[in-house]
Amino acid sequence: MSKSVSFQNVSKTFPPRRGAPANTVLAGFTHEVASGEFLCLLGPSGCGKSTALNLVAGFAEPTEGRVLVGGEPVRGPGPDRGIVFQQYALFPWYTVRRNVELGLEAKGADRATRDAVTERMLRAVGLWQHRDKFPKELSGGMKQRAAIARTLAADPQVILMDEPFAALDAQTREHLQQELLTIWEGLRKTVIFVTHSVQEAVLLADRIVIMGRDHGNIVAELASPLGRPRDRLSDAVVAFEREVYGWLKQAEMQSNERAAS
Amino acid sequence: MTDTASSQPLREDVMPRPSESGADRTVRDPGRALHLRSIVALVPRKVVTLVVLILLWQLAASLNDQFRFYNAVLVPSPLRIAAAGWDLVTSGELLVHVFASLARVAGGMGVAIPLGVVCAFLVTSSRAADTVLDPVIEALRPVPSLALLPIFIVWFGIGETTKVVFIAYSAFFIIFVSTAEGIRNIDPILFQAAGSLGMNRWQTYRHVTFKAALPQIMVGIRIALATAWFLIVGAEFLAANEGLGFLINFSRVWFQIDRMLFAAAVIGLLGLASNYLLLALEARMFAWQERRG
Repeated sequence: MSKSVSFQNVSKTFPPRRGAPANTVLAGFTHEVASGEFLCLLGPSGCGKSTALNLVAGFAEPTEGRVLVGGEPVRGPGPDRGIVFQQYALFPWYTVRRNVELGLEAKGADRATRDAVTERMLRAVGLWQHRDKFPKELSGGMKQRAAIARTLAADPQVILMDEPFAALDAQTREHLQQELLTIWEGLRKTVIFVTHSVQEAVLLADRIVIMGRDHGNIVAELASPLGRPRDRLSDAVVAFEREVYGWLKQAEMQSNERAAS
Repeated sequence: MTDTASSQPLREDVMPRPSESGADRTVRDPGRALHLRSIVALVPRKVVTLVVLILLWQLAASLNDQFRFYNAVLVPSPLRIAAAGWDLVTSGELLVHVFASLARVAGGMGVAIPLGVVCAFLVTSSRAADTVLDPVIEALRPVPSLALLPIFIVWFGIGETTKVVFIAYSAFFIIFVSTAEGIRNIDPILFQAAGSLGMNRWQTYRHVTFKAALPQIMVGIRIALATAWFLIVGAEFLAANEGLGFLINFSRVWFQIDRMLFAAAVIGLLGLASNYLLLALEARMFAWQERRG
């Protein structure tokens, strides 16, 4: 199952702290993410894309407006919205298998279901033979695979990804992007994927939303003209990349104007 | 010792991959070998230092027997201390005192550990508990617990209760502070992950908060235990009929300095042993940690 996500006139202002003035990151942010859609939020750093994601995850509450998931307002974090962090956030004291199993345990799944789902997820990300290792024994790419397996095992309806591949080397990143697409095509869950990489957004997204630094204003909203699977070197992909890049440039210029004024 | 810790492969490019587990072993092996060699090279040398010092002391004492340049009653020789110790061991007297002290330390720690950990969990997870408990604990904490011992004696008499309460009271603060700090230092992202996996409050305590704070809890226990060995002696000077502190104080009355020194050495050894025991336990418990040094 998969759910839609709806931002309705959402504002987020962080209160003033230690001399720093109050900071409005999002103002009047309104957007709809369809059920089963792969959406990329793209924008310069500090544009509020991660804040938008945190509001869906329930880690923060909007100052104004509402965030709806499947038509219901978000109340705190919950297993219907799984998240994958850039820093993996695996529990270092548990083995890979135990990490993946936890979401199922929290749900109260029985032993047999737990074992079966855990094995399926670990095989899907190619970590089954590493199931008894601790996170410290894994490379960055393997850690992120484990974190993805952990998130998927809890069977969320919406998957939130906060620059999940930004800390990985280029080769590992490409592998993981492909693996993510393969898994997603099997599941067709709603994905909100935050990134600052144009290439990544073009390769992954059904739709790309480009945000500016002006309180998370939406500079452009582009439905991907590309079919799947995508060849990252094909003319169509490169042409779309160029278009997206142009919009991102514009978002950044806007930001600079704002900073200068 | 720190160089052996940093020689463990921590960098990503030498981390094991499916096809490279053999290569990984070759990376790790030199570290192991170095570690072993350094133990063989270091430890005996330090033991030799101690043995040599004791031998010199014995030599001085033997010379003193001939030439009498100090009062041998005030500073007994290692052999005489050992002989006094042997008497205490064979008569079973030592065991009685060791067990008395051990029971008080264990009893006090047995109360302090759960209490300190629970209070730290309360203070860090509820604003109300923090408002009520924290000022009380912070006000009492700087008062040296030895200053309160005479008051405890008035309140609880000179029985076992006083000693156990005294140790529990002293150890509590150390464990509380260490645990609370451990909990406050947990990366908030782990709680976010727990929430998104659908863990409820108790599951989060069990799988995240407790596990993450456990290394700091163990540090607290280790420091508290060392402090407990320190303080039990003081308590036994004042109010006890047995125990190692009592043995020292009682031997003073009879001017048995060899017994006093032997009892002091036993206290030192017990403290040392409990510290090493806990360190070994920690090394096993926290094999998952990135760095141990």
